[in-house]
Amino acid sequence: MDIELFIEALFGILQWKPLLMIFAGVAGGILIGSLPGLTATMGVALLVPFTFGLPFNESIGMLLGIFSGSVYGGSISAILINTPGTPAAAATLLDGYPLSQKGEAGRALSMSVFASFVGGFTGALIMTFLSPQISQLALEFSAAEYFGLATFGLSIIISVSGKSILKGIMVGFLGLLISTIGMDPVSGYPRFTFGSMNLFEGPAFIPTLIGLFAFAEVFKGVEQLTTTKQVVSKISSVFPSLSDIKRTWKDMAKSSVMGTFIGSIPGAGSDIAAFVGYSEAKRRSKNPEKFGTGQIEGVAAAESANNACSGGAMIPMLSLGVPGDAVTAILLGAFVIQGIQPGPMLYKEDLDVVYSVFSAMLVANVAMLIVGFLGVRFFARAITVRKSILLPAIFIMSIVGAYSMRNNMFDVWLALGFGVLGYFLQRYRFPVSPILLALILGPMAEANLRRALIIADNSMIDVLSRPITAIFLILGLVTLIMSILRQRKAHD
Amino acid sequence: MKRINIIFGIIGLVISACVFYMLNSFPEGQPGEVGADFFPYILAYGLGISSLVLVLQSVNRKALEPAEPFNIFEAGIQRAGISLVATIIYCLAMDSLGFLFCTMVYLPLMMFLLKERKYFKMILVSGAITITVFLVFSSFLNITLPLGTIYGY
Amino acid sequence: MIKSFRKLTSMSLILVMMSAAYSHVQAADFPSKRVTMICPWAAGGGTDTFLRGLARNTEPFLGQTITINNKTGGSGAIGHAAGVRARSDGYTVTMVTFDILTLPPQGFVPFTYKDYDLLMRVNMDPAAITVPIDAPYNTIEEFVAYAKANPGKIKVGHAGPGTAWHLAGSIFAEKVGIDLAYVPYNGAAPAVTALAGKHIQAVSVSPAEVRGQVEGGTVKILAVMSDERVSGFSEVPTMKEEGYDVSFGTWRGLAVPNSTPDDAKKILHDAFKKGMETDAFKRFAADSGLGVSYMSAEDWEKDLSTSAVSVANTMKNLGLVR
Repeated sequence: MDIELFIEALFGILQWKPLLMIFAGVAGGILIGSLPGLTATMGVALLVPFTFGLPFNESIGMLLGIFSGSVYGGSISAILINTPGTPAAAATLLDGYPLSQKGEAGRALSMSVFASFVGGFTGALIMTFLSPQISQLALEFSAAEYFGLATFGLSIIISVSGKSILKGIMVGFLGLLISTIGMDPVSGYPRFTFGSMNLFEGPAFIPTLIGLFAFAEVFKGVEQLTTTKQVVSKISSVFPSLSDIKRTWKDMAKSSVMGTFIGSIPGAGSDIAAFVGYSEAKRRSKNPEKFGTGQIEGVAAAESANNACSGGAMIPMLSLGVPGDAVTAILLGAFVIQGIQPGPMLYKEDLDVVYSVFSAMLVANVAMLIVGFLGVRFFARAITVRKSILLPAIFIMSIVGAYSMRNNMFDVWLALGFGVLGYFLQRYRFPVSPILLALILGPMAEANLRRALIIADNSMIDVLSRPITAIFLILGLVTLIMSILRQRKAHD
Repeated sequence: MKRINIIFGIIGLVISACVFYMLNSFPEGQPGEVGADFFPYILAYGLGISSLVLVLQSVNRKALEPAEPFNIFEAGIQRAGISLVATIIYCLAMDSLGFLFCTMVYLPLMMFLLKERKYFKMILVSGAITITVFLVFSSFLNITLPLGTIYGY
Repeated sequence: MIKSFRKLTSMSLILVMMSAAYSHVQAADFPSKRVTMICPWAAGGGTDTFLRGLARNTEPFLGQTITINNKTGGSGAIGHAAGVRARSDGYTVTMVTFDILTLPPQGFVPFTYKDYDLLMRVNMDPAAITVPIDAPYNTIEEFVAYAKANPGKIKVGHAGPGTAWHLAGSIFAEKVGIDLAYVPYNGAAPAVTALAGKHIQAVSVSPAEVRGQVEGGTVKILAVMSDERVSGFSEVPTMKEEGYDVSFGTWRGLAVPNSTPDDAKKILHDAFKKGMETDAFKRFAADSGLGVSYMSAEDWEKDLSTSAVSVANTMKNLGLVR
């Protein structure tokens, strides 16, 4: 690490123009992230062409600003309207929404900003100082290891199941079955598509998410219009209280490190990291049964994990030229167009470029903290809008969000269908989050197991006995058994 | 809740039965190979078994907290039903009549359904939402919302 | 209640009329309004990048703005279907990709490239065989010899079942008579990552997609499946130079629905051709690692009629036809 060069790069970013771009990017990113249906990937993809003409520092500042801002932005709608703005915020709503229903939206939002910053900044720091070391880990992951990771992730279904494990498992299996809809990842056979080309790639994830959460929630809101009171939201301060920080700092630290590592594995993204962070915080907690009813730790763990992922995902992209997730894949393209080829050579020849990226990432997270705190009051006011105005507005946002993912009306029907399903599931106390986890992890588990089997000449033993795979599988089994036992105890 | 759980369990069983039926038409894989039908097969078993357990558990257990009744004649349920129908009509009409027009009609009607009676405010807010959404999506995000085929688009 | 409802209706009616007045455009001289281009693949991908770059550089020649509509999903089926169904007035141009050849044999779409009026082909990226840097073969000949000695042992990563890169590996194996195993990944990038991690023995993707790894010294390209050497990779031999008659790659082109007026087609063709030939676009494409390669509608049509047959045959051998 060449400190002098790094400081020089940092000062290059701390000029007014790059700073302006970073702040503009963060603000735009928060907006994009908070709208269900618009994801970080889309935001970055759509803005890449605008950055072609800009100098490197400005364009990278803007892109990383959008990246950081949108991952945080997803938590705003998760907390306020029970709809993750991006898939990464799906774990945040588990405790964030109950908090805002209790009138503590401000508390949840400020904790979310703070945790996002802690996670994002930690991720950026790890990226700055440990990139070459961690990047080797990314290459160790073959299909068999991804299968292990996905299976481990699926064991979390139990811990997001709420009161009834059985209902959680049942819904989880339903979700996994839904995730097999579409073209088979190996043979290309269209499974359960009923001949509709709209289903070839399976039910699109974002519209499904919008249906299960946003539509289900507005239908409930419309039904209970007269029976529930308008949520009041009191905000004493836009900063998280010291006692909240004391309560959560261990969870945030753990989540940040785990999130960075998960992010650095190509193909494992912030959505998985958030759930892993959440489940770990719940496991560690003295009163895990309170999770899901508005525990501030849940918000902190999920948000620090998913933001840490951004820094993690940059690691293999920069040092190996291998993107860590969909957003960094697009960033890689943007770099190449700027005439910069990420990879080992970049570290040897253009260290100043690498350091500029590190600096921009660190500064972008600080900018996110500032913009986020400034926005807390404004965002929290959103739910105090009269329901007769707010609910129709959410309807429109959900419809447009589902539509815009693929510019396809079919996705709106899909979202409405899942909305009705989600409405009835919630009404009769079936947890909805297991479906979400299943949709994220099911395809990952299946495709990678089958890929691994092709590579290992169809020997299941060879696949399962790879060390990292075996560790993940055992870890998954332990998580499963432990959480079942704990749940039993809590109910006796 | 007892009856509800049994109903959901039976729905689960029916779904898994349907999956088993559809798996019959899947292509035969090589022997000893994990094919396209492997995962759905296991998952259908999983869903079937967990649904069965839910049914058996609910049948045997006497004291279950009562579920919220789903009364189709209740005002709230009817309102939710109307909102669903209105949304379906809105989406059906959007392709031909365009986003701007449909949204300008849909929003005030929904607000009316939700007992808002300040008409001036309704129209104003609806207009603001419609135009903001349209502008943000079409110019800033470059996403084309349906403009309406009847206007020649 | 009735009164308030009436008030509401009248107010909505005013709004209805206001929205209906919203720009009703008459078609006079083509193009008199903005042109929409359908991209069957997601924003940020290769097709989208190429299309956006081309559109930006073509707008001045067309004299109208071009809006890009990413109609994605169904392995490109959705976008291609929307392109076929669009109004044949020339205001909707589709970027047709290689997948128009693979979708019909799989029974995924009820139309073929013949349901389009072709304008021109704009891009071509050949496939290449790339292996880890320390692999026991340095030339494609040694690779083939190794594959013959170890049938089924070489695992070739590709971008998914039925994609161009899946067929590329298979067409090569067919031609030279070797037995390879194919590992499907979700796109080219993860396949290249697996190759860099030495979990698979080869990939059959384009040279541009492995460029980063080649420069980083983790992989080497043995041969490209094109007629001429690829710019930027001039040290890599073609298959033909090495004695294997294999030429295969993916391509992208522009097309409009059947029965679009000829003058509109000509205006579109000329404008896009000019856009393609600008220095700005050429530089942009080279920086993005996308090959610019013009082919006229007639030549392209001829090319498609032969390759549609051979693609369908290969897919049959791979068990992808149903």
